[in-house]
Amino acid sequence: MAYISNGLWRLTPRRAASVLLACSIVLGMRSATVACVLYDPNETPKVVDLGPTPVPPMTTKELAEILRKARMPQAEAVATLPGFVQESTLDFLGGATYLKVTLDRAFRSEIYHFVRKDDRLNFIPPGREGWNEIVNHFDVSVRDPDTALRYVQWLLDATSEGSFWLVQSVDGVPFLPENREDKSHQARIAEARAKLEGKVEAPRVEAKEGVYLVQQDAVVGRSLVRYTVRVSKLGLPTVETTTLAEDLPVVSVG
Amino acid sequence: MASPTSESPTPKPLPTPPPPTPAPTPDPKDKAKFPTADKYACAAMEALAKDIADKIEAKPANGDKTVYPGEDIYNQALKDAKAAGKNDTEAKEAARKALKDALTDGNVVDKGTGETLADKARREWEGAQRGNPVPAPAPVKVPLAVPPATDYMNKCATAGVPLPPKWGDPAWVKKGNLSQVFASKLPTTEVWVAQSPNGVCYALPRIDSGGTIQLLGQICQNPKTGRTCFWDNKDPSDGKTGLAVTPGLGPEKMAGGDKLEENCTECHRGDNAFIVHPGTALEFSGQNPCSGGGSKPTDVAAGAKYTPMGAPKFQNPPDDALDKKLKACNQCHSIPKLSKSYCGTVLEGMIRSKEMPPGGDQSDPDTADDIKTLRAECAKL
Repeated sequence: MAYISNGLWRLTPRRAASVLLACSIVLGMRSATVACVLYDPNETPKVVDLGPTPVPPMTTKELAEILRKARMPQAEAVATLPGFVQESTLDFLGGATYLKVTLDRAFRSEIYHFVRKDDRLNFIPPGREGWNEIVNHFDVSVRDPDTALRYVQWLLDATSEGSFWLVQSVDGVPFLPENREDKSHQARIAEARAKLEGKVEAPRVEAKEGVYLVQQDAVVGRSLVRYTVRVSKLGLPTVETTTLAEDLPVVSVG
Repeated sequence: MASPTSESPTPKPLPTPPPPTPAPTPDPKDKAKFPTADKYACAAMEALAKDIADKIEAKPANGDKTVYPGEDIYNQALKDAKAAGKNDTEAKEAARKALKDALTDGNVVDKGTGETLADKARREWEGAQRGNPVPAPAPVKVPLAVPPATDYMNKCATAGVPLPPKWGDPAWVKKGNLSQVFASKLPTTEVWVAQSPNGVCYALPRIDSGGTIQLLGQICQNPKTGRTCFWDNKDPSDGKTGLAVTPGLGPEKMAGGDKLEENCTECHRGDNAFIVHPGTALEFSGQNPCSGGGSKPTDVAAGAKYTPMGAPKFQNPPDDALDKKLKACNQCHSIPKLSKSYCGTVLEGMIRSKEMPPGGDQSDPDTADDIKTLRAECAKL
């Protein structure tokens, strides 16, 4: 997570000139509308009738075949290891399909992220390179605060490395498993939980002067980190991080 | 907003190669050496801890940039040991021990499946033993399509409760048979478990003398929220007519807690949905595979409460007045509001078989008083 420890970094996309022009125009307009949306972590998603059975998700074998044809180096691992593929459609990438494949390697799952649009399939590497891959190779369109929040959450998650959890309340913090026999262990977790009660905030997004300002908390390693991401309508992000708490008794990721 | 810098465009990154394969680990097929999943998981965690520690310690010399599981724990322990005045060798030993403890205690989880690495090793052993890998726990995407999913399945999945796989799915792992007969007169009861990132599902097929499954109750619980769902092989149209159990029978065809005529929560009440007879196949291993001993299948997290989902009759009521009268039992777990079924099937069974308190010694005065109190309260029902 070297890019996070830098505190502030900026993307340098290939489309820099066009983005800069677009941003200048938007900034010049000084939008009068400022929208702020708070997300209630307790709100239960609505259950809807989706009608007939959806298309089953892609299997690892099917994905491996696509990767093999594209001569991508992940093809062999995807073909030989058991696992599963999760698919979702990304409206902010023009309806591109996000493919997250989890491969069941002994002692450590291997996770690959891909974005598929038309006849292209791009591997999304972790970290800053992943952000660059998205901004440089896809037409990102962020047109409202809700999309800005989902875009930033997806980017953070899909390009994360190691121990990383997006959180919207203290309930999402992956504390160490409870041990009912070890009172001091329980006390340590209870203390940390109490300490974080007022610190973890629900994600929020604000439209401000032609860009969106997204605030999202995450547990990174053993720290609680607040991401403040300014994202343009073309998806160009500028990330600032603030560490809110350290040395938390949370699980580590293998 | 910050404008982009004038740096050159970032070159397209090279695809990440697969990580190095871990060093050879114990063989999960070796049942003579590893007769139980715990024995294998313990040996595997010890081997893995050594392998990871070796690689972490080699990093300064070989420039390896990989972030290894538990590396932050190793580094923190190394730092703490050095700060405490230990020399380099002693500090490394302390860091290696911290790493091994973290792996065995379940403090390191798999990012893809959410399992602890010890649970992942247990799953590997189960698959190796039966010659058919147990698939990795996969998340369910909600909302589900209705149909084939039922509204109840959707409500359960949306609330984060795992859904039972179809009968015959390799995700079901047989844990063994129960030696005692309870809650049914059928002679054979098997215990099957399916793990999910959200929790665990149990299925207890009750089998007649001809080898046919007559009853297939299934309960799934999310330990973080305590939310729990129920299914049984009953026709959803009336909630009571039995369905033949054949491969592929799934929750979409079975009556759920919203349709079942029988009220599962007459017995399944208390801290956890699962009624665990200690020392039987119902009992899960403790988190630490090296320490031995069992545990409840799901310890509902502090602050959460086992909450059944289904028809309004599916409840888990507490009884504060009763709780105040008890001195021993409620030191470890609560006693819920008593019902005839709970008294007859759960409480009296546990008392008579001396399964409770753990160890079976009911001579302690507080325990003996509790037993009298509970029997007296049950007699009033």
